[in-house]
Amino acid sequence: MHPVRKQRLYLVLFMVVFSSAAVALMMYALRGNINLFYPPSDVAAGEAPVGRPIRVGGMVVADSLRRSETSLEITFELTDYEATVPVTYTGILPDLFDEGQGAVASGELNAEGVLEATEILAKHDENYMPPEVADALENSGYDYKGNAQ
Amino acid sequence: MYFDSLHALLTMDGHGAYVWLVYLVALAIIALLVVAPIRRRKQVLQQLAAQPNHVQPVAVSPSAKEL
Amino acid sequence: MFVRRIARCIIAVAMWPIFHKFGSPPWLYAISGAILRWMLPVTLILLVIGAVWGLMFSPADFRQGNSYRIMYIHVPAAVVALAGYYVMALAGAINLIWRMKMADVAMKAAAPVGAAFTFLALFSGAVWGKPTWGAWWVWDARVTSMLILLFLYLGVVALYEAFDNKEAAGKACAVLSLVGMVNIPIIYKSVDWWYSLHQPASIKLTGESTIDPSMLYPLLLMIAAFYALFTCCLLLNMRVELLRRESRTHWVGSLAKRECSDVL
Repeated sequence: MHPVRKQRLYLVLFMVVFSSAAVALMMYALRGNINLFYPPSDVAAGEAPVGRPIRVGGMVVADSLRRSETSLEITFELTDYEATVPVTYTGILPDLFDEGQGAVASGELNAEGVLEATEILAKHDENYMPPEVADALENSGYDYKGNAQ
Repeated sequence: MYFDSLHALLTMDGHGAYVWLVYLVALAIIALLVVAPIRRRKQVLQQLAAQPNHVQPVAVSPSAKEL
Repeated sequence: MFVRRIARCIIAVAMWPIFHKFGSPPWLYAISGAILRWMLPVTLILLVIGAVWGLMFSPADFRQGNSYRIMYIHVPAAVVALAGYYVMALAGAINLIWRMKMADVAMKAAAPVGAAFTFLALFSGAVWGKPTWGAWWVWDARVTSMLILLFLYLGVVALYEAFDNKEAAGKACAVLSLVGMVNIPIIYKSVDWWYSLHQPASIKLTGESTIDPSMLYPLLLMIAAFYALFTCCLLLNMRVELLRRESRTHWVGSLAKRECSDVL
C-alpha cells in the first residue's frame, strides 16, 4: 500500500480505537446508572437508596399477588431467586403482567423495605410461539422455555 | 388466513390500532424513501436540459485518476 | 517477503478493474440503473408478501397476542438501521484513506436512509411497548443507544450541509461516522451487559432460535426485503448525487438532453 494511504489507514484505526476506549471508560464509570433497574438482591443488600425514585426488576413470585377488595391497590413480591422485595401499587396493571413473569416496578423504597410503586412495566422474554404450541408443551410436561416442569 | 373475519383482522383483539398504525407509518416512510429520490433525479435532469449552455465538454471524468 | 509481494501484486491486479469501475460515475450510474430496474419491483413485491404473511397468516403469540405482529416491521427496520451504519462508516473510511469520490457519494446517500430506518425502528418499538411493557418510552439501554444512532445519522446529514466545501464535508462526516461506530456494539450487547426492559434476541446465530418457525419464516422474509429496500434506496440516492456532482460533464449533458423517458 502507498505510504500516504497507509498513514491515513492508521489514522482511521487510531480514531476508532481511541473513541471506543473513551466511551468504554465512560460507560465503566457510569455502569450502575445504565442499568434500568436494581435486582432484588441488591435491594436486600442495601445497595438501593431509600426514599429516592428507583426501579426494581425481577420475576413476580407465584401466588404473591393480592388485590384489595375496596380499591385498585395491589401487593406482590419481586424475586431474582436470591432475595425478594415486596411491592405495593395502586392503578391498572399492563396486560402482560402476571405471576411467574418478569416485571419492573418504579417507585420509592420505604423504611420497611417495601417498594411503593408509581409505575409497573411488564417485561417479556424472547420466546415467541402460537398458543397451541404453548398448550402442547404444557400438556407434555414442559414449560414454554422447554424446561421440564 | 389466521383471522375469521375482516373485522377480527382490523381489531386484532384490541391490538389492531397499534399494529395498523405501525404498518401505515412504515408504508408512508417506505413510499417517501423510494419516491423522493426518483422525483429529485427527474428535477435535476429537467433543470440541466433547460440550460444546456452550462454543459462543458469534459472528456474524462476525473474521479478515477486519484487511484 | 517475496510471497507477500506476489500476493500484493495479485490483489492489485484483481482489484484494480473493480476499483477503477466503481470510481467511474457513468459506469456506476448505468449499472445501478440496470440493477434497480429489476431489484426495486422485486423488493416491493417481497415487502407486500412479507407484510401480508405477518399480518394475516402467521399465528398470534401465546403471551402477547396480536401485538407481536409489529415485530415484522420493528426487527427488520432495526437490523437494517445497524447494517446501514456499517455501510456509511465503511464508505467514510474508504473516502478518508483512498480519497475515492464514489465512496463519499455512498456515504452521503446512506445517511438519510439509515436515519429513516432508525426512526421506523424507534417508532414501531414505542407503539409495541405501550401494549406489552405498559409504556411508550423507557430509558432502557437498548432504546437509548438506538436514539443515539438516530442522532448520529442526523448529525452526518446536518454536518454535510453545514460545509460549503464538499470535500471537507465528506472528511468531517467520515470522521463523525467512524467515531460513532463505537455505538454499534453497544446497541447489540446492551441487553446482555445491563439490566434492561428490552428482551434479548430471538433469532440466534448459534443455537436454537426461541421463536416458532411459523413466526420466524415471515420475519426472515421481511429482514431480507428490508435489506433489499436499503440497497435500492442507497442506489437511488447515489444516482441523484452522481448527477448533481457530474452535472458539468458530457455524459450527464447528453443524458439530460435525452430527458429521462424512463422512471428510474
